[in-house]
Amino acid sequence: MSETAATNVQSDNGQVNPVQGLMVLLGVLGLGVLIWYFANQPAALDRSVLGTRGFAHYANDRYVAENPDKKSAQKFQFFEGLPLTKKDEISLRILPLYDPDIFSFSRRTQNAKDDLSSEIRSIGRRGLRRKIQNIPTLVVLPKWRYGSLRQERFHPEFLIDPADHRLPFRDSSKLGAPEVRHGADVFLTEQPKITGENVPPSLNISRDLALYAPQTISGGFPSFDSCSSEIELKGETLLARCEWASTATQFWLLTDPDLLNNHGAWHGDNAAFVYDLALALAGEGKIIVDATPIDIIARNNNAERDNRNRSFSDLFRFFEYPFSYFWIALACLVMFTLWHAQRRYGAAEVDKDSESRLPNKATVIDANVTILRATPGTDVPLAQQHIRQRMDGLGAEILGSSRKRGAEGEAQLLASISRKNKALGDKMQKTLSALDTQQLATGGSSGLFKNLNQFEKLIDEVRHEFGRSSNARS
Amino acid sequence: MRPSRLLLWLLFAALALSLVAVIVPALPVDWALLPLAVVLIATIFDWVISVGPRSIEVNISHLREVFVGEHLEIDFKLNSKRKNGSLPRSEIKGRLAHVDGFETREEFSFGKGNITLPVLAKQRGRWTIDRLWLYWKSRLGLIEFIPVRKIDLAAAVVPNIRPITSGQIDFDMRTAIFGEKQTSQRGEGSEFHQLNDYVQGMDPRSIDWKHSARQNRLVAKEMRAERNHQIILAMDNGHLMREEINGLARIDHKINAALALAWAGVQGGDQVGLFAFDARPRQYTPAQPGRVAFARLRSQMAELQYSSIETNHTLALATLHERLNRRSLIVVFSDFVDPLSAELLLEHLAVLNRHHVLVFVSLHDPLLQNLVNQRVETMDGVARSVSASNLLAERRLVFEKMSSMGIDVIETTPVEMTPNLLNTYLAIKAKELI
Repeated sequence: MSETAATNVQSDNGQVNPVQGLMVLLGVLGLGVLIWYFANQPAALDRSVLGTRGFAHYANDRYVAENPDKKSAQKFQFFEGLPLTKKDEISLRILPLYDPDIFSFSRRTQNAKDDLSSEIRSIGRRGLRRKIQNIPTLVVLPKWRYGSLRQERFHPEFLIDPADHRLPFRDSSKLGAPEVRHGADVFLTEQPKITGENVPPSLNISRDLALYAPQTISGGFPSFDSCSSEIELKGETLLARCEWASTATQFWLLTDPDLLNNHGAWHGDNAAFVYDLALALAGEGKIIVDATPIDIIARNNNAERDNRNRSFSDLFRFFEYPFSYFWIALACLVMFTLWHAQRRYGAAEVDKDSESRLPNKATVIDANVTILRATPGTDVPLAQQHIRQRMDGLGAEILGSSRKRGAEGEAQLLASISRKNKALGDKMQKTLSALDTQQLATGGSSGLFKNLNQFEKLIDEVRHEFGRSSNARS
Repeated sequence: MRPSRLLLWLLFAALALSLVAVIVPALPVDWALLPLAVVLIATIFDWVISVGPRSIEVNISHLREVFVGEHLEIDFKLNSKRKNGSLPRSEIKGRLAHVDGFETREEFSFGKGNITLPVLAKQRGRWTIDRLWLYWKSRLGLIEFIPVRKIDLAAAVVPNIRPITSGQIDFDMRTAIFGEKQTSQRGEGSEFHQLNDYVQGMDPRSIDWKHSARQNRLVAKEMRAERNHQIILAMDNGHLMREEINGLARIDHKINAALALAWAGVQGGDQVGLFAFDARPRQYTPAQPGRVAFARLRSQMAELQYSSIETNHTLALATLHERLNRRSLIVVFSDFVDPLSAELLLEHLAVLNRHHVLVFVSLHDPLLQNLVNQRVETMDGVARSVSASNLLAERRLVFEKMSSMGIDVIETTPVEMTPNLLNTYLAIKAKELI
């Protein structure tokens, strides 16, 4: 018989169902494909009227056209974080901002209308500082609120209020500090002028800039401030050279994003002006239009990579002295653990389910329950049938097999209970009358079971009254 | 033998210490294996000073036969093989190999080396428990000894005839049939016994007028209870009979009751036969008188296999009807679930009932009763209760139909089955229905 028992031992314990394993693998692969797909989808903002993806493509195409000998080179690149680019290869980062108040730690806004700007990308003060510190950067101030992005329309109502601008340089809050201003001309076509000393003289500025509600910095910069006006448009600053307050890092500040965004770059010579400006400010390396909220380049380049040749000896060092002591102890533990697991105390467990698989009444009842419950609206009829059957069962216990059945049997049982205990009989009669369809139907499931519980308590009382129920054959 | 959990934890601690010694520069790395060495040396020392499996022997004694549903008591005694040797100080535990026919505690303790272990005999047949696992820990608890002993403990589980061996049925039968004095059988029954002089007070209908005329005096016929009747035990051995009630399969409860009835029939002078069936007729033993017939019936019933196929009542009862050539008492031990099979059963019972006296024996279904009587908490529970109640109602309806056909129906609990069956048998004999 021991052989028989041994054949019942579950032999598939711990084995993975190949179909399930394949499904899990396919699921993981599918998830990977989805992640890859969405990771490579351009963000909605970059493709919008406020985005700068178009300028990057335009600038690179133009550079390739003007420099046929560098056809394979990618001078301008719209940078979304992937692929990673080495810091040394980048000579200028064009960084369009969308959040007017980069000094705030939260996304709070004071005006209800500023809620519209809440979904525009924000990099925060620290992010801006990191980006500026790592690579020479041309920061482009924001100009439009979210309304223009959503409705793809440009209206003075959608302009960021100049009062909401907090410029990223020192003493911006002091009296006499420069202010962002929107020009009085709704649509201005004008050539800029070089006023500073930091702009390379080779820069061709004989370009007609066409700007809608041009955004400039007015009033000039006080002598103690860290910015200097470099290019002006109608006497107001269009491009400034600034220094970050705490780190003394230099960066460029372009006041109007319409010069390079998808909406404004194609007006006049806007795109050409920014193209020339970027080439003049940059060195030999790449110029990236940075659309990432975090500075992946900085992180990637902070760690110095060890480029020594790798070999298996590097791995084997983990098994040499003194690590060998650890491995000896681990091998000892594993060996003893396997030894412990290998020796079984007692017989192998048998498959208890084999008996439960035999057909029986429980299977029939389960099938009936499934059918009864699958039909909607059967709760109340089921409960009523249950009550009738409980009464019939009670009648069988008290009156035996000679009792009447159906309504007559119920009346006979009630009469018998009343003879024994009139109060109890009346109570039972009252409860049964109360458990009509209407009452069972009201109150939902909880009300139904409340009534049934009350009925069951009454049955217990009747049983108690009649003493221990006999085993009368029903 | 295997390492204990304590030893594994100590090894894990040694591993952690060695890792710390390797990683932390301030610690002496050459001592990294010291904790491991200490643990291993302690383990070897523990093994040396502990009582090993080779120095312990196991003596077993037990009965070779046990009634189904009763306990087989197995005496285990552990001794040391060495002179003046002792048993391990730690608690010795044991486990038996699993066998379908027996059920016992998963684990038991030997205490001071002796234990009488009760093992419940659950299924008929000859079963062998082939192995015994012993378990004790070493002195320091670093090692666990798990010797496996081949014991080949064999015992036969036979139908329960405890009411017969206790003499209870003998007493009941003698009381019922013969009374306290054997002469009381005279004057009852329908079988002619002898002629006797008619005395005043006797039933005038008992006067044999022909013999009275021949002898010129009133002579009365003295009758006695008829004996030598034929009883057929029709045992359904289909899958429904495998359902367990009170720890035993239905078939075992019914075999126990059938054997009690067979013994009563033998004692009452009747002949007893067996007809076993499931999907088709399996076994037929013609009715025979005497204790030899009972012994044969007992062994044949003990050999009935636990079947997992559905019963074919039509084929079985038709076959039985063909084989019987004399009016008999047929006791059908069977059951049904669905109304369709019950209808077929009723149809063929009706045919048998025209020529024979029928008794239908079934066991109460505790599953259905519990479902009907339990307090419901969910709608699924209500549906379950209603469904069970419907099955019970259908069952009741079938039994009422049987009763209306003149078939004696016994639906009872396992405990009350034998007395109810014997009472019915005695009542049938008293009414001279056969």
